[in-house]
Amino acid sequence: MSSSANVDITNLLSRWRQGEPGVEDRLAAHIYPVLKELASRQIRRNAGYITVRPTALVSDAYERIAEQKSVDWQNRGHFYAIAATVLRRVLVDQLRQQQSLKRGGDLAFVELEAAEAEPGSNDDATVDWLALDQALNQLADEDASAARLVELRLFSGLSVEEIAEVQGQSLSTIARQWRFARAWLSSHLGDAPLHG
Amino acid sequence: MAESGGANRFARLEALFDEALALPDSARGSFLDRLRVEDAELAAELSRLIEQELALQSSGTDAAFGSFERRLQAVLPTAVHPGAMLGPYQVITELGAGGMGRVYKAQRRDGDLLQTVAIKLLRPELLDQSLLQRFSNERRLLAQLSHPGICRFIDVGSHADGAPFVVMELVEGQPLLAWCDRQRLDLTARLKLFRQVLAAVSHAHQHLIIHRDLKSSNILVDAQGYTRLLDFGIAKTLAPDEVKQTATQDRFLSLANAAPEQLRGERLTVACDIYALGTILYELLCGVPPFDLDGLSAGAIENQILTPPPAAMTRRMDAGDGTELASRRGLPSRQVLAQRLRGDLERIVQQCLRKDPSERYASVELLDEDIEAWLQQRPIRAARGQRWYVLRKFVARNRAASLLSLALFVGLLLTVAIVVAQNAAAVRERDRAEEALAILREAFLSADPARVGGEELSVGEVLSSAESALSERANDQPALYASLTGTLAEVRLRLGQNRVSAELYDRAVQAAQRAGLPAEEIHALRLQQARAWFAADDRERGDAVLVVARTSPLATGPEMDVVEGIARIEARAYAEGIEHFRAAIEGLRSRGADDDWSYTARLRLADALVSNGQFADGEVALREAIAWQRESLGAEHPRVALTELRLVAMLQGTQRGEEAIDLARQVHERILDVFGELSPVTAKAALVRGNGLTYQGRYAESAIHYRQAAGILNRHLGEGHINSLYAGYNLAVALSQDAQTRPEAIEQLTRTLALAEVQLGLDSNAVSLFRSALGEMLIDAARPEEALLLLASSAHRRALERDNNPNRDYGLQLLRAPTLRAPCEVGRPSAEISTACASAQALLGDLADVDD
Repeated sequence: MSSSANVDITNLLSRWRQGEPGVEDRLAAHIYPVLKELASRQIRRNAGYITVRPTALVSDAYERIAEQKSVDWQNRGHFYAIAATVLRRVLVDQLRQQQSLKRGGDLAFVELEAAEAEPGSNDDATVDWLALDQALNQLADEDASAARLVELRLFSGLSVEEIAEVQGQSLSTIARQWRFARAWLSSHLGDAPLHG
Repeated sequence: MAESGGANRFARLEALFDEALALPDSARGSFLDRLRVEDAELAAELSRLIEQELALQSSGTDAAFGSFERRLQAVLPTAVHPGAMLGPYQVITELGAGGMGRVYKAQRRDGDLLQTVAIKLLRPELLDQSLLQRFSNERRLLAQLSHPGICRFIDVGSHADGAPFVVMELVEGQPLLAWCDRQRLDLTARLKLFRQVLAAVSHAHQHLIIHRDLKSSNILVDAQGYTRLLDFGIAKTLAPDEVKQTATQDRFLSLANAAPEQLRGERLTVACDIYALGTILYELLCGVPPFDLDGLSAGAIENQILTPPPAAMTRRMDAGDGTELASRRGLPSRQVLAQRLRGDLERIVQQCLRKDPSERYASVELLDEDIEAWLQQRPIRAARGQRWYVLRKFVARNRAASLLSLALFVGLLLTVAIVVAQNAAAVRERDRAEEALAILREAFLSADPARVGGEELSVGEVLSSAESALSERANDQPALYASLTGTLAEVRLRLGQNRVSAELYDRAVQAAQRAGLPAEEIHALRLQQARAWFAADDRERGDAVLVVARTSPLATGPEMDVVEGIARIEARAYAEGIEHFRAAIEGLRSRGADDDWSYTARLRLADALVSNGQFADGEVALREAIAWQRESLGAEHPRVALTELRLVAMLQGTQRGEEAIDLARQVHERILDVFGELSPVTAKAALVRGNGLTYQGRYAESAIHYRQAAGILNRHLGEGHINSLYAGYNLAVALSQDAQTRPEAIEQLTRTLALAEVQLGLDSNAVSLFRSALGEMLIDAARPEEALLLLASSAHRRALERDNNPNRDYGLQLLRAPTLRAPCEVGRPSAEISTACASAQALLGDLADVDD
């Protein structure tokens, strides 16, 4: 990645933060290739039953990009937030591709060892990620902010406080929103309750 | 419904969802009923969501979401203002806030009596009828807790808005860690204080109550220096029917001290308190908590707690300012602190912090016993069953007396180290191997710091076999090979096996380069390499290594000065050498007396000064070294005694011989106390003391000490060992000074000579010395034939013909003695005597032009 591209990232991040339209896509264009490479490497290693640690991917991607020392540390939270969106896209792309290769479209599972996951519960922490993606899209149609919260929560590795800051919402709002989103997604995922 | 109504409808659904959940369970049905009348579809969806939410809530572990919600709840604020009433108590001021709620100072007027208490107000979002119920249930139990170390539980109640609160005795004091640091308590005092905490927790456990939220801020030290444990508020009884209530209770635990099973929502036992006590002890000792959780997300924190074993305290310590940490513990340096933490204290702490509750101490009492054992320097339980550990204790207690055990021990350690290092995945095991090696090094150095043991056969054998086992890894694991070989080389150097050591260092340096180890590590190895070559009397190779070392960008440190100094002394450039040693001592000033470089620099400086004719300066330097060691190690430390022996040796043979004898007596007695009567170190002291008496002509007294030394050395090193032989020789010489004991002297020396001939070779220098001395004794005893046969033997002749024999003059002088010729001048000597006479004559003739 050239250094001029990285200067762009810092610049784009601050513009994104100010809510400039269209910036998010441009940012994603920078982050997508890095994340994609990292994710496919992880997925390749675990062909069939895919184990992905989204938050690890995001932080790897951040380091990869920040290595060129142009991304300001202060923007880490925002970078992670953007990366969460991109990562979701990357994963879903990968899974779709993988499924299309599989006869009969057997479900490929992403074992979400999300940062907040309790490793003790990994055994049942499998998520039909494509279904979740679909449900998230539906939720976003109804309440974009809640869907965004779930995305950040599952992919960014950001703390609760950081998510509140990125979302520009109070902690109590986030707490309520989260409770609702969780119940809503669970009921829309049918028999596969969202364990994360 | 219109499209645009979709978003509104959804927003309404969200609001209704919140509203319904805020209602008590019993009121929710009628709420939904009312909604159903208005909008059946919406009511159905809401009903489904609520069902989902309740199912998630009751699912207990809550999987990924649990900790997230915990974090959310932890940051939601609650506050009560001064003057407000909490039940009958009036709030005075807020004392603090934590994960569980806020704490207020409050008071209650009861007649004339004003009772001041601490009230912990729990977060309203934790409001839960069962919680309050449970507090009431436990009230009786909590009231049973009557222990001076536990803050008294007074009451529970609920605030107007329903938030439950706990009323406790108000304790004025400082948090444990801050108090210890402020008082600059040393490790012993800290551990004693910690035992008070253990006694309090033990009391609670005996009443079937576990604390579950032990943390250093929950332990206050009052003005009298007694610890008080706060917050048995969320204590849980150990009774089995209560076991299931973990999920909700655990929402307010403090993550830094939380045991893995608490995060996993498993059944909690006393083991979770043991774990928390371990985290407190860890920080109390080394100043840093076991895990660095700052700035981590909740998930990352959980991962830290659940997965990796905590780093050794000495390693975590590097995160902080080591000198400051040490000084807060009344210790001179980080190194000294690290040294004290290593080993047993580390083991105790790690045993508390095991991820698996069943691997921890089974009770607080057992933990307490180990701490007590440490304070009394007895073996601890945490190490029980570890063979190498027991051996180490044995070695430590018996010091050099157990060289044989040490040999077994070394073999065992190296085998373990090599085997586990192959499995890089087993991080814990690898750490342990590293620790084992550190212990090996320490054991060796402390076992025989003065090298009095010399080369002990089985140690040598074990080292050799370890070296050959290691050599197989030279190619595939060069980094491992370099570090282990470097350790072995250091051991060899300490044992005085300088050439072997130097060759090992050669190989270690090569491997380190192949492995691409950091430049500092290679440089450090190279300095040792140079030192070993100089010690092996190979100046050329020492200089060659030094030339390479000088090209390193790191070539300026004090260690470099030590090696440069040694090189100068070897080149007899004493003044320059002295400068280097002085610079090194200055540069190493911050290190403790256990630092080998620093110690070497000081001893070499003293030697160099004496070699340079500055005897008085040399004595000053050596006395300074002793003072420095005393300050850092304590006056009773064996290494101090060994340095003092050097001072004795320095004074011997000077005009201050009597002073030397007096000092030798003190040191010898102290060493006897520390090492016992059977240690080679004691033998060394006895030898030095004997020498002092010999110098002063007090032979009868010196014989006593030589006899003691010889007895010990024969027993430990075998009669054939060079040190045993010298002791035997000294004893014989002392005994020979008195005609009465001369026969015994002859007997002794005959025996020593025979052993020496076997061990050292018939014509070695030492043997020629022994033979000359025995010849002289025989002459004095009027047994000239025997003396002649001895002194004119072909082996003796070969020895005397060698230019480099320092004892040649002595031998020749005896050959010229008139009494030795007497048997040749009698009428008809035997053939044997005639041959001897001719041989002696020939020897004197041959060497006449060279000597005399």
